Amino acid sequence: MKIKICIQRQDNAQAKPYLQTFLYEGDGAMTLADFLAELNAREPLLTADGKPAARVAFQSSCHEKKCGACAMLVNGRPRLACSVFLSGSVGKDGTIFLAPLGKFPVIRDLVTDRSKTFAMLEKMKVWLSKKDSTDKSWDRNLQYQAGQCLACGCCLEVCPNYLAGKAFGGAAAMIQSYKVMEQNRDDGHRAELKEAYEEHFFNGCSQSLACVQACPVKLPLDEIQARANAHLLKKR
Amino acid sequence: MDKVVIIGSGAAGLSAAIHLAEENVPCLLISEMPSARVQSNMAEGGINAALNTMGQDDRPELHEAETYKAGRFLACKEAVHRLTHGAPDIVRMLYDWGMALNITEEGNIALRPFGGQTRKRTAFASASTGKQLMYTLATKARSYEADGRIETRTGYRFLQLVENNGRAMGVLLVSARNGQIVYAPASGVILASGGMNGLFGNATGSVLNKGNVTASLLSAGLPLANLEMIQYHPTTTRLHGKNMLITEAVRGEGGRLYVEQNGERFYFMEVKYPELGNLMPRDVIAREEWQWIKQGVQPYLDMRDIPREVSIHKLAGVLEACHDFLSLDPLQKPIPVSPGIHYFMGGIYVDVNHRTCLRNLFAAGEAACQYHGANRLGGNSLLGAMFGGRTAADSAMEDLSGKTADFRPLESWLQPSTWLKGRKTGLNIPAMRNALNLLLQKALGIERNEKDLAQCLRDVQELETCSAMQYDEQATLDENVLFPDSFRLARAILHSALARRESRGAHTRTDYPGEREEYRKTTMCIFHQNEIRTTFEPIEGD
Repeated sequence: MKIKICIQRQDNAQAKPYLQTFLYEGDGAMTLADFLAELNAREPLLTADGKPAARVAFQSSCHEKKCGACAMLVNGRPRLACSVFLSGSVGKDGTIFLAPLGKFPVIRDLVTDRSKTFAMLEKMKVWLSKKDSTDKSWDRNLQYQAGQCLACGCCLEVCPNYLAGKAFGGAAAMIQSYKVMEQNRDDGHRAELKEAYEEHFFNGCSQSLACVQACPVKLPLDEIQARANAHLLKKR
Repeated sequence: MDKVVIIGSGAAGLSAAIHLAEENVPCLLISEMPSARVQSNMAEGGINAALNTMGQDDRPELHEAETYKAGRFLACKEAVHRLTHGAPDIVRMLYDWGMALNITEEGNIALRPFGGQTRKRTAFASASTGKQLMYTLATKARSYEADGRIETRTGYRFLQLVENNGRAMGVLLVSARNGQIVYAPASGVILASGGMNGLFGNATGSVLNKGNVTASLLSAGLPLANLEMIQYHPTTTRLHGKNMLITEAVRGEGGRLYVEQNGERFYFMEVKYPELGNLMPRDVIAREEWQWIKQGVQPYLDMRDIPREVSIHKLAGVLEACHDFLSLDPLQKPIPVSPGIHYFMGGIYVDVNHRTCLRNLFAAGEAACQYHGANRLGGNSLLGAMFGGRTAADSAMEDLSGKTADFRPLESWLQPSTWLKGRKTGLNIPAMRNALNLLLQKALGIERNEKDLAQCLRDVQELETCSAMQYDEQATLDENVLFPDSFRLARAILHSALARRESRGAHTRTDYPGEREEYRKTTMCIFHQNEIRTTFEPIEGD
């Protein structure tokens, strides 16, 4: 099959974005991340209309949906490029459209700066002061699920309430807060965590639950949120 | 004030950083990407510790003996002793830090059987042990980041180690964002930069682990050890760009390997090795599979004999990965598997305390040569990274001088133009790397021989000559500076494989079958005057 891959490019944070189209010919049984790596090794690298092009900047690490590095917009939806196959994402017009995530500042091409996601966790003091070893009522499976979060940013991309750098931390902050609120012993640190959760998630979430659909590893974000809210509201 | 610089934020790097922070020693943690993105997150099956929670009378001594035996007696005995005896505390510590390990009905840490081990000894978190471990470490490190003991600098890549008078003084780094060079002075440097995947291109691990730091150190004259010991994991499956791991836990839970013979399933491991069967050490299974693949016969990993509940609860990640990447449901159909490069037992030479041959320089994790000898046991890599990171931090603290060196590199070193002086454009690093990958994949497979290794060495040298004094206009500065070192590292691996005229662990020479006692030594490689010098040195403590 012949596929056109149209990429929204940007040379640096200040530059204007522009579109470039590249061609793929094959059986389509290749992921977008593999395609981008293959594209960058082409010699010479030419656009669909035969003009020389610069290599496409994108982030990737595991190529197995385990690290969240390669999150980008595929046909307008946030996806992990390593788990989307060319054949499965090509539109009726034979084109796949790639763009950087829109909620984060672009560094170059498909690479965005998602550092605010991690900064929020530090601001919210998402860590354990000491684990509560007496509480046997924990849902270990849900804790495990929370630990599977890739911090890829797909949930934030579709969230109607999230803007990078603002007070609302979105599902990425919620899911991590849940685990420590549940695991931490009931002390001053846990009280601070609950306050931070209230300020940076609970007060700002409008319950669109768009994040549930967008999560590339299908984490039960609604269930986890319900549990996190219960931790916040209990003993008030 | 003292400051330790750590290169790499995987399990070894974070483990070192946390341990330094516990002792109030500040560190600077350098990483190209946040810790959530690095290779340690990909580890699946588990982390070994003789916790003896499964009523099987397990002891650290047994873990030690089985680690040493699986490594075909090439590891440092004392290092293995310390690793295995330190393991229970490491795993209990992770549990106390909130790691979502699977637990037994009695509330103890659950252990699963893994290859090459006669007891259930592998603690695990479903099939995502690395991910859960990294999440735990990142959470733990965050409290120290908040109080400044750990300063994390993400988005920087290693350019060069700076040494003066036989001491590591600091590290030159390149900003991935704007290409600027910065100097990080250090009273100690811990390298936790991972394995050498970039030389082969199809390893199961992260594409970030190019082996550039290891290659740079070789070029700087530091010894590397046991480079020929490259682990082929027996159950990987082919993706387009690289291989994907199917965790050993599948076999631990009852998965079976077979080939089709005359319309019947032939369980080759169970027939040939009745005691451990599908849980023989990885090197043994990889070789057995290879015998079939050479004849054009496809080995399969069959999960259909595992109770459905177990597959769904303990191996969920495997089911999902097969569904996503192979369009295959392992509960219905077997998984076609083949051996794939998974781990580098060799690397930067370190002693039992993780000191390299340069003062103030330490290495841990897959970047270092420690613990695994000629073949690594599944479940010992996360353990080695955790324990090695803490040991390297202990050594760095012992060697602290009281202040970060006030040495400063020449101003010109901070200018990108200095590094490419005299080089011409024309190099395409991704294409050249692909060419190097293909050569090494062919000669450094499961079976090796003198003729192919020697030919590969000539081919690598030819590639190296072709690309000499050139640079790639579109590549980053660090890629341009370090890529030529990849050829030297490739040569060092080939020289090591040529020199070891025996078959031991992961190194199988068809022209020299069988282990030979005179080769029970550490293969050392040093780069000197554009030559690789390979020697066999007594194993530390022997």
